[in-house]
Amino acid sequence: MSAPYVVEVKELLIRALDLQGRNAADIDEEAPLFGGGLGLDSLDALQIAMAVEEEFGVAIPEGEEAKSLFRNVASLAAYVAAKRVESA
Amino acid sequence: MSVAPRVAVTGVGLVCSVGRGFRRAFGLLCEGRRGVGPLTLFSGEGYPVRLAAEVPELELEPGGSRSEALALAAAGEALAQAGLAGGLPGRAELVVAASTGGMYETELTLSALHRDAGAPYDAAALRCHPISAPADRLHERFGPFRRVRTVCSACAGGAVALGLGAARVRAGEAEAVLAGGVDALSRLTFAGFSSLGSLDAEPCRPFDRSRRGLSLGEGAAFFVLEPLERARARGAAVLGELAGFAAACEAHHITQPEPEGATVGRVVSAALASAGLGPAAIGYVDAHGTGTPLNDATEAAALARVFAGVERGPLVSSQKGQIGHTLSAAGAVEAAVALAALVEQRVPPTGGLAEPEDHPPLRFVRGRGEAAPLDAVLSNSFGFGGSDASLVFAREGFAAPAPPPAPSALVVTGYATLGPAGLRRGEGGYGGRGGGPPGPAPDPKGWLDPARSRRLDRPALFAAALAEAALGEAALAPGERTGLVAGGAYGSPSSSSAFLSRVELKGPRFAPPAEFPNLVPSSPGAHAAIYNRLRGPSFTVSEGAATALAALSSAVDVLRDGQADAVVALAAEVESALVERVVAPACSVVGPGPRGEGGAAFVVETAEAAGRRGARARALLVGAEVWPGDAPSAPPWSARAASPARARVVTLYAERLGAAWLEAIGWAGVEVVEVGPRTGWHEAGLALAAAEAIALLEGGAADEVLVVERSARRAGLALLRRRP
Repeated sequence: MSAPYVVEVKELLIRALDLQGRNAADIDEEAPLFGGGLGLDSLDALQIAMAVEEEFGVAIPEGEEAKSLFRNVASLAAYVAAKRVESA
Repeated sequence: MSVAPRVAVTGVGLVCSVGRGFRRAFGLLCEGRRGVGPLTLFSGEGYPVRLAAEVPELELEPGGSRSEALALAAAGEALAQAGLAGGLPGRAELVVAASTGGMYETELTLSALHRDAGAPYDAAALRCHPISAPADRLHERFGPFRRVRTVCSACAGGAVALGLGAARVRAGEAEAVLAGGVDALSRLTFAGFSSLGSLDAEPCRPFDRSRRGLSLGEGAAFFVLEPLERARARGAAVLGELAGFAAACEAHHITQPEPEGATVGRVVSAALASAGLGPAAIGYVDAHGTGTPLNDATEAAALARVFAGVERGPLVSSQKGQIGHTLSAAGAVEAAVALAALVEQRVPPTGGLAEPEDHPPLRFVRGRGEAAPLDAVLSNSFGFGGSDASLVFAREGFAAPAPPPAPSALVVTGYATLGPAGLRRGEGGYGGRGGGPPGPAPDPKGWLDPARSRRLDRPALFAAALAEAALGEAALAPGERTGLVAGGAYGSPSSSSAFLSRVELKGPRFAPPAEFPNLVPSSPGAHAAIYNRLRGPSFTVSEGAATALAALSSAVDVLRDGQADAVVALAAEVESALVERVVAPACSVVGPGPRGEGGAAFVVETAEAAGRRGARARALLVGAEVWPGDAPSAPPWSARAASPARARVVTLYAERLGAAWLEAIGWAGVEVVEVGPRTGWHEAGLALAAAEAIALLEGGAADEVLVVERSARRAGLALLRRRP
C-alpha cells in the first residue's frame, strides 16, 4: 500500500503535465522526476508547484528547499502529507 | 552587374518609460534615469511583484490601443527625422514586430466571453486586438505603403523586423522601409511572466551578481531604412548604416536558453561576418541583458567567446534595468540606443548594475554613460522559442557588408496539408480530390512523438506535424541553413482568454506557467522549429486574411537575402468559437459557412541548394506578395506567361475576385478554382490553395497557377509554375 498522497501526486502529475498514455501504475515514486525518469524540466517544476497548491492547498517554497522536495514523487507526497497534517 | 544597395538609417523614433525621442531618451539613459515603478495600468493585487516600466501620459486615440499610440509616436518621429513625413516614395514598405497588439484593451472583454459566450460586447472595440493592428494603423496615418507586414518573434521581434526591412532594401525592392517594433503592457503578459517566476521584486539588475529576474516594460522604436545612394542623392542625413544582421533558432527549449549559448555565439559571429567586420571593430555591445540569472550568464559567456581574441574588449551594457523588457519592441528600441551611441560616441550605462559578474574581455558600463570612440556597434535580442538575433550598425562607409547571393530561382521540394481528412503528404490541397465540407481536423497528437510534443497545444501540434511531413516529403535533413516562417493571424485568443479568466477568478498564483509560452503568437512556429530541429531564422507573420501568402512572401525574402538555403513556409489555423464568432468578424474577416481549420507547409529552397543535394522540385515558386487595399498593384513577376487554357487561378471564393479585377491583373479568361467551400474561410485556407496549385501543376492540368487573395483590407498573389 502506498504512502499517503503518492497516488494522488502521480495522478496530479499526469493531469498537470499532460503525460499522455501514462497512468499511476507506470510511475515509479522513487524515480527522479528531473534529468532522466520522467524527463521533466524547470517549466514542469513551476507547473507542478502551481498544481500542488491548487489541488492540495500546500505551497511549494522557492529556491534550494524546493529541489529536495522535487527529487521524486515520494518526496513530494511526503511534503504534502506533512503540510496537510500541520494545517489540520 | 550592380552592387547591392547599402542600408542607410535616415530616421529613428523611440518611446520608452524613461522618455520620448531618439536623442532625448538616449540622454536620459546616459544620466542613469530609470523608468521602472509601481504598476498603474491594472491592479497588482495578488502579484508578488508589482513593478513595471510603463510609458507615462500616453494619449490614446478613440478606439485605439496603447500599442497603436506607441507605434504612431515612434514612427512619426522617425519619418519626420528622415524628411519623409510629407510623403513617402512609391516603393515604401512597412514591417512591424509585435506580440501584444491590442491585448491590454481587449483582454477583459475576451476573458468575459470565455466565461459566458453570450455576453454582450462592443465589436468595434475589438478591432485593435490583433498584433497586425498597429501596422494597419501606421499605414492609415503615414501611408500609403506598398507592403504592410507584421512579424512576431517574441522578444527578438524588433531586431527581426529591422533585419527583414534591411533585406528588402538590399534586394532593391524598397526605396524606403519603415521598420520597428512595439509592445504595450497587458494583464496577460504580466500574469504570464509572473507565473514563470521571472520577475525581479526590485527594478532589474542586468549582469549583476545578485540579479533576480526581469522587469516588464512597454515601448516602441522605428527606423527609416533606405538605399545609401538614394539617401545621399536626396540630401538626407545618414545616421549610420545597418551593416549586418543574423537570426537563428536554438531549437532547444520554448523558454530556456541553451546552457552554453552556442547559437548566440553563432548569430553574433554571423552578424559580424555579414557586416564584413571582425570582433575588434565593435566598440560597444548593447546586450539583451534581461536581468534573469540564465539569460545574462549565457549571453555573457557567448559574447566572451566571440570577443576572446581582441586586444581591448567591447564596452557592454543593457537598458532593461532602466526601460524594462519591452518584448517585441526591445530589439528595435535597443537597436536605436546602440545607434545613438554610435552617433554620439557615447556608451549608455546598465541601470541597476552594481557588481558585474566577471566575463573578460567584456567591460560592463555602470552608473553614467561614458564617451567612447565607436566605429561599429552590436545589438542582441533573444526570444522565447530560442529565437536569437543580432544587428550591427556602423559609421557610414566603415563596414564591408556582404552582398546578398546571386538571384536564384526558388522551388518547392515538398509539401503537406492538414484538414478534416487528416495529415496528407504532397497530395494536393486536401480538398482537391473530393474532400468534404469544412470541419475539425483529427486529433494531431498521434502524429508526433509524445515525449517531444507533450507541451505543444493544438496550434503548435498542427505546425510541427505539417513541418515534419513537408520536410519528410522533401527528404531534407534540417540544420543551421533551414529556417521557418509561420503564418498566424490572431495568435491564440481562446487560450489567452482562458488563461486570463483563470487569473481573474483564482488569482495570479494559479496561472498555469506551462501554458503561458504557448500564448505568444510566435509559439506554434517556434515549437515547429524546435520539434523539427530547424536552426535557421524562425519567425511568424500576421497579415489578416492574407496571412498565408504573407508567410510565403517572407520566406522568399529570407531565401533571396541568403539567410537560409531552405525555409519551411507554413500556415495553420485551429477551430475557435471565439475567433469565428467574435475576433475575426471584428477584424472584417468573415466567410460563408463554417470557418474550419487546417493548414499547409511547404519546403521552399533555392534551386541551387536543391540541385546540390539532388532534390526533386515539385514546382517553381516565381513570387509571393501581399499589399494593403484592394486595387490591383500586381508585381511584374505575376504577369501571365502561359496561354489562358494552360493557366489556373486558385482562391478561397471565386465571387470575391470578379472578372474586372482579374482582367486588371492580366489573368482574365482563366479558369478559377475555389477551395473555400472545402477548406473553410480560415486564414490558412490560402496555404491549402497553394497546395492545390502544386497538384494542378504536377497533374498536368496547367503550366502556371496563380494563388489569389482579395479581401477588404488585403490583396495577395503567389505564382507557381511547373518545374523545369
